[in-house]
Amino acid sequence: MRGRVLGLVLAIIGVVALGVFAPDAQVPKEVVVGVIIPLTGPAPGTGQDCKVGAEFAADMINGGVKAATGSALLGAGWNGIPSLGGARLKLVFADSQASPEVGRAEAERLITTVKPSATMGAWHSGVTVAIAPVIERYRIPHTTVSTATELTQRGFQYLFRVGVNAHQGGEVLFQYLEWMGKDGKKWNKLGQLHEDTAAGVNFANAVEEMAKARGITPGLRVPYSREQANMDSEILKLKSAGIDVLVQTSYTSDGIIIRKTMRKLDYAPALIFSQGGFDDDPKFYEAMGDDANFGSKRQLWSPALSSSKPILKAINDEFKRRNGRDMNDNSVRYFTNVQVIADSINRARSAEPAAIQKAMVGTDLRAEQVLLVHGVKFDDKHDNVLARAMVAQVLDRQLKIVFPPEAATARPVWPIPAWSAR
Amino acid sequence: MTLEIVLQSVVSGLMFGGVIALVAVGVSLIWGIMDVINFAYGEYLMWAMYLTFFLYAGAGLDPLVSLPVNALVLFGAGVLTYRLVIQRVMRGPVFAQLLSTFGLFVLLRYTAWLVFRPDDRQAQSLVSNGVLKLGELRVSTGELVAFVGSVLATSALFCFLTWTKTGKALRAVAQDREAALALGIEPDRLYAIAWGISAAAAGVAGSLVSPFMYVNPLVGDVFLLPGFAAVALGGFGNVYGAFAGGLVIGVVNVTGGTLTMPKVKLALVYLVFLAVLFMRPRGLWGR
Repeated sequence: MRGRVLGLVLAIIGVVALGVFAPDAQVPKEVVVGVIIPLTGPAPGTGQDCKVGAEFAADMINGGVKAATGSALLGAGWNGIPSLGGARLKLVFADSQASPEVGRAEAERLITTVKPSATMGAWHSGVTVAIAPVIERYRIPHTTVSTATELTQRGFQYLFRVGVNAHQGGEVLFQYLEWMGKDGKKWNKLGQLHEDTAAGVNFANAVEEMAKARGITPGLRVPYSREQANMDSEILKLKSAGIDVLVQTSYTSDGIIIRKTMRKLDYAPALIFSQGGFDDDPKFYEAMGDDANFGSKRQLWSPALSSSKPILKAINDEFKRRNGRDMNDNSVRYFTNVQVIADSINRARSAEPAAIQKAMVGTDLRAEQVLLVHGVKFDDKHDNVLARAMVAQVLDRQLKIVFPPEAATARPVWPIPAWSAR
Repeated sequence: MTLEIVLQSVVSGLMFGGVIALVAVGVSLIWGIMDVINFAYGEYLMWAMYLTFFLYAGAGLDPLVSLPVNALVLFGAGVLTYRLVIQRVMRGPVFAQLLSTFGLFVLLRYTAWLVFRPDDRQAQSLVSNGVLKLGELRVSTGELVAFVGSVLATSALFCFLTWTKTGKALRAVAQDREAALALGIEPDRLYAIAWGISAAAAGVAGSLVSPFMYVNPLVGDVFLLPGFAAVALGGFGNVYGAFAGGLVIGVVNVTGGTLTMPKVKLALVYLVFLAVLFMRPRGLWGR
């Protein structure tokens, strides 16, 4: 009898002990997030910007960025993921080398070896197109800032676009042209020069579609492949067609060759507008010096907006103290990628990919919770319905917001001065 | 399209063709003397561009200043390639020769990939950013220097082959190896020199293009494919024909792209190349 009682007591103690300790055993000490970006290849500067932006955000989530404390930023004041008992966010990086094949292989390697709870990347739209089926097959929630509109048209359940798509990014161009038109600025022909991978082709398609919808007849469209030493025929073609509003999608090295060729052949349209890429990369500015000036681009962030969002300046100052440069569109977008994933993990109360995906669907971050000019909320295709952009122009080798007027920090220079007048 | 634009495209094409011409000359020299196609030639150019970049980044040498160093190092690499690889397969079947240079191509490309990673890197030069105006026509100083350098290098090769004893011996070996051997000419030594000179031409080309072109492990393709077309266009084994073929390829590339659509400019190059081979299988200046 005493033996049975003792056995019962031990059994009860065992059950209680399991009850006490089991939850702790289930709470992870860290949550791993995979980041697939171009750390080498034709855009290593861009990849580095993405990397330091993501690391900065992860440090904030883990309680290492005191400058954010007290702000409305998601993750400010956290010390790890709150709902997981302060589990730390750990980033593991993989190098896509800007190659779809390498990106796909790296995504597969990352998912099968590191077993991340979520992933993000790959910056180049062409690489994201290649890795999307991989993350879908392994059912890993994945955030991206790639702009190719087609990415979210294929019914992927695990892919979420945090930034603008090609249409949202192109929209601001036409708003800007309309605004300039009201100011008496004239232009005649809109043309396009773009690299021929997914990012370039998608953006060019979107711009053409939006132009036609506004009754604008799109002029010459010049696609090109990146690996070439001579771009004279591309620029001569645009010059002879009289294109004075040029929409350009290029990566860094080809962007440098194109700008040098424009200078050589004395081609200066009234406006050069890009969706980012070459003109986000510090290497472009190093190579071009003053010749980088006067190009315009779609811009998603500016520390100059700190009058409406005071935390921007403090965060940018802290980032600059650590990395020696201002944040830019790439570092800010990857900062936001990390915030969106951390928010989803926190609301899911789990490090399980399926639970995080469900939580990510319900993401609703206001503009003041992120550094971008817009908040994050996904539609049924997982595009960000709040995404919108501004226009920045390179003036004195720095990107300055010129549109919309309420956010502008400089007056736009229109038309771009002739090369002989600089 | 105005006449000015067309003329500009011809001038730009000639400048670009000058570089292609030098690559074609290097390839053609080996073909003419040994009947061997060097598939790894673009990789020599790529390694020469890396050497230029590191001499610029490490020692601050302008690509034009480091040109002689590049030429010498690549000459040595060419001789070494012959002694270690080509010499051993010369008596084997033609496929062995083809596969050996293809193997070399793979080795050089992916070693560069492993060592340098696929980053784009570019050396800066005093001539990188200048623009010369000739009336309404414009030429970048970098491209003009590359064109003049290419003409000078090809002229130097012409002089070497025409007037020096070694040059004459090289031509003799190219015409009839056995007869040259009977006259006391040692083909192996001459073949090694030919590989050295051919690789040195890639070294010179690497220095000349560096002021306006970035280097990555794939850059050899940019120059080698049009270079092969120039060799075939000019006539296999004809060094001077290859140079002229390079100029033609450059003009077809740029002017053709300007007159039609730039996206099809490489297709135009190969279309002209096929048309010439169809009508003159030995090339425009083939023997």
